[in-house]
Amino acid sequence: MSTADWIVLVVTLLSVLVFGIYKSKTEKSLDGYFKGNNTMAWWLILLSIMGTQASAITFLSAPGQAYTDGMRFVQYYFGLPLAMVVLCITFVPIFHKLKVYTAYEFLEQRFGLETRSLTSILFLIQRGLSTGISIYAPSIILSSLLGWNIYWTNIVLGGLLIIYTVSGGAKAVAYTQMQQLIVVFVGMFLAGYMVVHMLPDGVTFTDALHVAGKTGKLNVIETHIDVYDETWWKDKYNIWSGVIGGFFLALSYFGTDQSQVGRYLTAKSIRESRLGLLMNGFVKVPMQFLILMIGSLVFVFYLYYSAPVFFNQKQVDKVLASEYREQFEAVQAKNDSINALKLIQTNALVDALHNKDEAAIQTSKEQLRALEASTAVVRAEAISLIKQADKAADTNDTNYIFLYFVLNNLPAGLIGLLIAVIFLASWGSIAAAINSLSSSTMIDLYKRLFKKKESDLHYYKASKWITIIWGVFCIATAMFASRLGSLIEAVNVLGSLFYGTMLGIFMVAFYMKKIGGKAVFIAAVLAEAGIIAIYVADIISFLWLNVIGCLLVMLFAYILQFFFPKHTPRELVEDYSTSSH
Amino acid sequence: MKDNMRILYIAVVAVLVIEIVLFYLFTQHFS
Repeated sequence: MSTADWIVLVVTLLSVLVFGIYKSKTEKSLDGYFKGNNTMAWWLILLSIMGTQASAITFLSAPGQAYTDGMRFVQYYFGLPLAMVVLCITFVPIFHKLKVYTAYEFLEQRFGLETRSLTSILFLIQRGLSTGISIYAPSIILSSLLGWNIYWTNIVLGGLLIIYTVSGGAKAVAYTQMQQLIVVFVGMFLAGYMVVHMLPDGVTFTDALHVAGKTGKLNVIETHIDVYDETWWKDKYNIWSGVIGGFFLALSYFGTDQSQVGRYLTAKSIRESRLGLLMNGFVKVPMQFLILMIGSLVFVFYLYYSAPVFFNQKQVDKVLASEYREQFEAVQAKNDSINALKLIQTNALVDALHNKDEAAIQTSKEQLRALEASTAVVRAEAISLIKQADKAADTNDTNYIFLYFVLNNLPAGLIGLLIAVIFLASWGSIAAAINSLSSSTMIDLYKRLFKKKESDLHYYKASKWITIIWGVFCIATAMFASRLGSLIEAVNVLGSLFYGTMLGIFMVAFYMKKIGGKAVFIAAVLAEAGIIAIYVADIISFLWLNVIGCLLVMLFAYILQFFFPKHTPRELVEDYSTSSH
Repeated sequence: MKDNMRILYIAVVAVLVIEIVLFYLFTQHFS
C-alpha cells in the first residue's frame, strides 16, 4: 500500500471512531444504553439493520461469488422482502407492545423461563462464536494479501469498535453504522466504476455485460425444478430455495436474532421500526444485485488482463517455495496460454456484437465457454498442488478475488478506501453483535436470574462491563480461530442449524395459542436433534434446513400438546396474532 | 396518527415480483 492509501485508511477509520465516541452520550440507564431511549427515526433503523447484516465478508465474498458462479447468489435474498412484511405484521407490534429489550424476553411471558433461557443461551453461543469468526475471516484475507500480522489485524478490526460500543451502546452503534455504510457505498460504487473505466478502449459497459452474460456470469434467475433429483435439493441458489428458504432464513434472522431485533427496538415508534424494515425489503435485493454485478464485471476485466491461476497469493508463494515449484510454474504457463486464447475470443465476441453478426457471436460464445472449462481444469490442478505443498491450505479463493483485483489494479488512494470499506463493514456488524450479546446477557440472564433488584445505574455500569467482556471474548475467538482450521466452517454452520428451531419457537408463540411451554420446549429439542441428523446425512442444502427446523417445531409441539394439560393463554398474549397492523 | 402500512406491504411484494421478472429478462437478454 502507498502512503496515500495509508492516509485514506487511517483518516477514514479515525473519523468514524471519533464520531462514534462523540455520539456516545446516553442516559445512564438500560433504556438509554440498549434502546437509545427509543429516539431513532426509520432511516437510521434502515441503515442500522443493513449495516448489521452486511459484514466484511459480504463485500469480499459476493463479487467473488459472481466471478466464479455468476449472479445467481442474488436469489438467496428473494425471501427477505416477504419476511420483512411478516415481521412488520407479527413480530414488531408484539415486541413494541410488551416493551421488551430482547426477543427472548417475550418468550418467558408466553412459555416460561426455561424456553426463554434456552433460546437466549443458544443465541449467545452461536452469535458469540460467529462474531469471533467474522473478525477472523476478513483478517486472514487482509493479512494474506497485504502481509500484515494476523493478530494486530484482528485487534484493529475487532478491537477499536469496542471503544464506542462500550461507551455509547445501541445509539453509538446506529450512528456509526450510518457513517460506515456511506463510506462502504462510495467505495463500492468507485470500484464498480473503475472496473468499467479500465476496460480496453472501445469496450463499453453494455459490451461488458454481453460478454459476462455469454460466459454465464449474469445468470440471475434459475427456475429449474426437479424435486425427484437429489442434486436439486442440494443446489444452494435457485429461485425456489431463494424465495422459500430465503424467507425462513430472513424471518429467523430478523425476527429471532437479537443482533437485528436490538436494532429496530431502538425506533421511536412501531411505525418507524416498520418503515425501516420495509425499506430494507425494497433496497436489499437491488443492492446485492449491484454488488454481484461488480464481480461479473471483474470477471470480464480479467478476460482482458489475464487472471492468475489462484487468487490467494500467500498460498501461491508457499507452493512456489516448495518442491512443487516446477509443476506449479507449468500450470501457471498453461493458465497464461488459455488466458491468451480467451483474450482473442473476447475481442472476437465484442467485434461480433458491434457488427451484430449472430453466427460469429455464437461461435465466440461457445469458444469462450470451452476455454472457461479448460480454466476450471487448470485451476483444479493448481489447487491439488497447493494442497500437496500445504495440507492445511485454504483451497477456496473466492473471498480473495475482489481484494486481489483492488490491490493489483486500482489507483493509489482508492485501495486505501476499499480497505477502509472492509474494516468499516466489519465494525458495523461486529458492534451490533457485541451490543446484542451484552443486552441478552444483561436482560435475559444477569437481571433475570442473578441480580433482580438493583438500581438502574448498577445495571448500566454492569452492561458496560458485559460489553467489554464480550468484545474481548470475540477477539480471543478470532485469535484462536487460526488454529481451528476447517472447524471454522463448522462454527459458521452451527448458527444456521439453530435458526429454524428458534423461528419455530416464535411461530408457535405467535400463531398456536393453545400450545404451552412444556410442549414447545420438548418439540424444540427434538426438532434440533432432527436438524442435526439431516445436516450430518448431508442430503439437503442448508437454506432448506431453516424451513424444516421451523416446521418440525410446530408439528412436534402440536402433537406433544395432547399429552400435556390444556394451556390457557394469559391475558397479555391473548390477542397476539390479531395485534393491530 | 393512524399507522397505515398496508399499501407499503403490497408495494414491497409487488416490487419483488417486478424485480424477479426484470432479472429474468436481464438473464435472457444477455445470455
